[in-house]
Amino acid sequence: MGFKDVPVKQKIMGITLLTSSLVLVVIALSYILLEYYSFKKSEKSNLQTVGLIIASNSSAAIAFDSPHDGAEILAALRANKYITAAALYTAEGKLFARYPDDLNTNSLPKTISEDGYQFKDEYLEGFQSIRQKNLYLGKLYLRADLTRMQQQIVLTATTSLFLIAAVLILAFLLSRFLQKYISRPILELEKTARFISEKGDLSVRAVQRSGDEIGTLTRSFNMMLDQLDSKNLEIHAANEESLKLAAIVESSGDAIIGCNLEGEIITWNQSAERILRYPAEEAIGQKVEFLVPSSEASLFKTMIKDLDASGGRKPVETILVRKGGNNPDISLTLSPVKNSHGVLVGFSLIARDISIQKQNERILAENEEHLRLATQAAELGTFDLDVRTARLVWDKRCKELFGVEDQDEVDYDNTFAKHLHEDDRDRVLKVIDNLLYNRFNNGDYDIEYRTVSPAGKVRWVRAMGKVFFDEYGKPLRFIGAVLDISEKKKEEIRKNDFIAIVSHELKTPLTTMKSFVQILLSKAKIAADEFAINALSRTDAQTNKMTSMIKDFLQLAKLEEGKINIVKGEFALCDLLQDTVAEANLLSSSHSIEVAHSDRGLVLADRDKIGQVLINLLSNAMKYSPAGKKIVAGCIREADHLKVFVKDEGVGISPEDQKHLFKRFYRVDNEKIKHISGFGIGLYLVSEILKYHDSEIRLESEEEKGSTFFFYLKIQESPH
Amino acid sequence: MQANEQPTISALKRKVSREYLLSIFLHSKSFLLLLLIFFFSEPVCIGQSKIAKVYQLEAAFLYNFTRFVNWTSANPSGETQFVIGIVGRDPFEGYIDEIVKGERVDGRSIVIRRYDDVSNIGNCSILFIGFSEAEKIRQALKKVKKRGTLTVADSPNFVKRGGAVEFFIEENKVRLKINVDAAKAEGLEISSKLLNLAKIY
Repeated sequence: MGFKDVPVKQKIMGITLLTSSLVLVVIALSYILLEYYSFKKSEKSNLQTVGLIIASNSSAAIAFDSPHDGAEILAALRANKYITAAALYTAEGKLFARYPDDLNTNSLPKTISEDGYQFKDEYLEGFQSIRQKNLYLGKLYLRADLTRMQQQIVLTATTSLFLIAAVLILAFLLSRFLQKYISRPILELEKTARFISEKGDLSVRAVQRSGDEIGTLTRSFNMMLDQLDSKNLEIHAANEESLKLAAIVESSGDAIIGCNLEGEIITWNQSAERILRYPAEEAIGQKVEFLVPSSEASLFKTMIKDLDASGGRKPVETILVRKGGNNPDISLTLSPVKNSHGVLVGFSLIARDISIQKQNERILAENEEHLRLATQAAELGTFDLDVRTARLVWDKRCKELFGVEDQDEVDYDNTFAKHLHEDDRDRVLKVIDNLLYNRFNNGDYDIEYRTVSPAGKVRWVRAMGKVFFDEYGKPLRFIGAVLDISEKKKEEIRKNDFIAIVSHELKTPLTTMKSFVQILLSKAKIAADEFAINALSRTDAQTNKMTSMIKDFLQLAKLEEGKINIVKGEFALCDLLQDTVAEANLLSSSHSIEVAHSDRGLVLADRDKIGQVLINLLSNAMKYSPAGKKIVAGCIREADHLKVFVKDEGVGISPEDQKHLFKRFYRVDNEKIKHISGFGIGLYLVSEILKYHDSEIRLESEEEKGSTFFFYLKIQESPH
Repeated sequence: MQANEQPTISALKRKVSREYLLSIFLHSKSFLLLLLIFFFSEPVCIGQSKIAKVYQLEAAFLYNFTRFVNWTSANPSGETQFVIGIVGRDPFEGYIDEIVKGERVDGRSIVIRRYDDVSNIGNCSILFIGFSEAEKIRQALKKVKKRGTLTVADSPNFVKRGGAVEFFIEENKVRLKINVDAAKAEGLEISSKLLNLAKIY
């Protein structure tokens, strides 16, 4: 482990110790060196001083030839124990005296030399001239031991060594204590950083303890974390977003294909695989052009050019290559893919499989053509009302039937309603309103009315159609055909006229008959002629029945002409029901009718007409029920409506017959009821009358089980 | 070289005279000792003169006095030269002249003047009274009294009689006796170093 990898703590201590030891060693060495030199210098000057004194003192001894005195003077050197040897020489260079007395003369220099002191290995030695008043008398030799100096230096060095050691220990302890101030924030920072990198938790912050660089570092670190945190959140959000996006792309029903600028496919979603049948591993890396059939070779170039030119991303309908053939019809959109700097990095292709749509379109087109041909053949005019936009479209024939020029625009109020015959207008508009907004007849439309051209020409037409509703029951479209029935209508009118005349002509003799039958019945009652009473009663009933039938015919005729007169008044519906049921019971011997419910409620309606409805429904029930079967009628309150029903246990009506049941002169073609007489106008009348009361006749029936006819009328006010 | 310019002890030796050695031999109390010196110290023969080592030393000592004594009373005689006078028979022969040749004391050149009789003694800073004039010591001292003269003699009891410095032989060595009072009376200051060597009377 090199110094570089050592923990900060130890680094700081190491540096401190290294620095202080270096400083101490340098100081100690300098001190020792200084000591050495100053010692040498002082030693030399000491010796010089001593030399001068001794030389001066010994001058007389030499001058007056007194070696004894010379030795005595030299002996004074005892005081300085470091001077180990001394000698006096005469001017001739002859040894005159020495110190110490027992000094071996061999250890003294044999010859004298110039003044001055020199350092030898372990001592300092030198000569000093001896003069008295300029008279040269001889030389003094001195030798000082330097071991003291060496000892001193060794002592100094040892002391220094101990001092350094002590200071280093102190420095070690001090740095150990003080390094915390530097290392602790760093270590905390490091700990925080490590915690973050290990746990990935960016919400942790380091504690700033100082205002120095480390404090700044900590603050910057925290700020960095803040930024990182928010960046991270952004990245996280962006990641989630891109995951979502990827999921959307992957789960998209459209093929989404990404390619780079070179046209190489780089992404290929599941739908691409589904639509084009190439697995992703086969498609990715290929040039995108391989998807284009040879007939469309320049497709992408054109699309890219369009993209450059318009910037638009208009879908192009084309064909792409499918693995294994059967190339699908595709709606293709090309979009540029840009990076965050807005630089184009590739393209994305969105391919929608429109094969089915295309096929439908073809079928529709064929159908339309067929229809067009059919309508043309039948001279049918067609209309198409978009209920939401109130846009009305008529074909040429339809316009012809309304006397409108081909090029004219049409609309509901200003064209359709305006061109209706005024006697028919209210009725037709009411029926259409009910159709659209009350869902009468389940939206099925079948009506006859007159149109009046601007020139005044009147035409009878039959219109049939169907309203289409959305899932909430709101009308969307109203489509249908119009057929010219003027000729047929003329026939019908003549027939109706005939019926009216016949009915009227039949009614007069019948009225006469009825009055005579009643006179005869009174007489027979007086005469108590049982047979006559019985016979006349029956005759009377049959006469009434016949009167009712004729009345129906007359009503019918009036209806057809639109001359029916509805006089509305308030009455209690249940009372009417009970009266009618009582009357019906009188007429029939084979069936008994029972009133199951009779909830009270006032309605605003034509009492006679509703009565006629009830009679028709009851007689119908009696007609089509085997003798002895129960018939139940009732009046039930449901919310703000009264439901009137007539239930039988008869043969029932097949679903096929139910569709036509309320049409004029319709009779169910059934072996079982062949014997039953009737004109087939009863239910037609019921249906028509109820239409004038904003209501309709409804039916629930099951073959062999029976039928229930019912209708609703709105309650005017609550019965009290 | 400084040393070469100076008269050296070895140079003195060259001028030791045999004749003077004889007279020393005759006059010295310690005849035997002198004889021993004569035999044991190598007689050196330089030039024609060959005198006893004792006289060589004494000649040198005479000159050396000029370095250890201060003549404080300026120059009563008004002499421009530093005179070393020798009265009586001169034991040093030319040896002393050799020593002082070219030497100066306080800027004055040293000259040797010889007086054959006490009565002839003139102004001098050092006066050596030779052994031959031992009888006339009082006379000689009287002659130079109060004239700032350092009187030197090798006759016994010289200092007792009022002389300043007396040479004597002790342990085969020429030693000095100094009468400090006599020197002081003449206004002379003798270096303590010299006094340390000498016997003080």
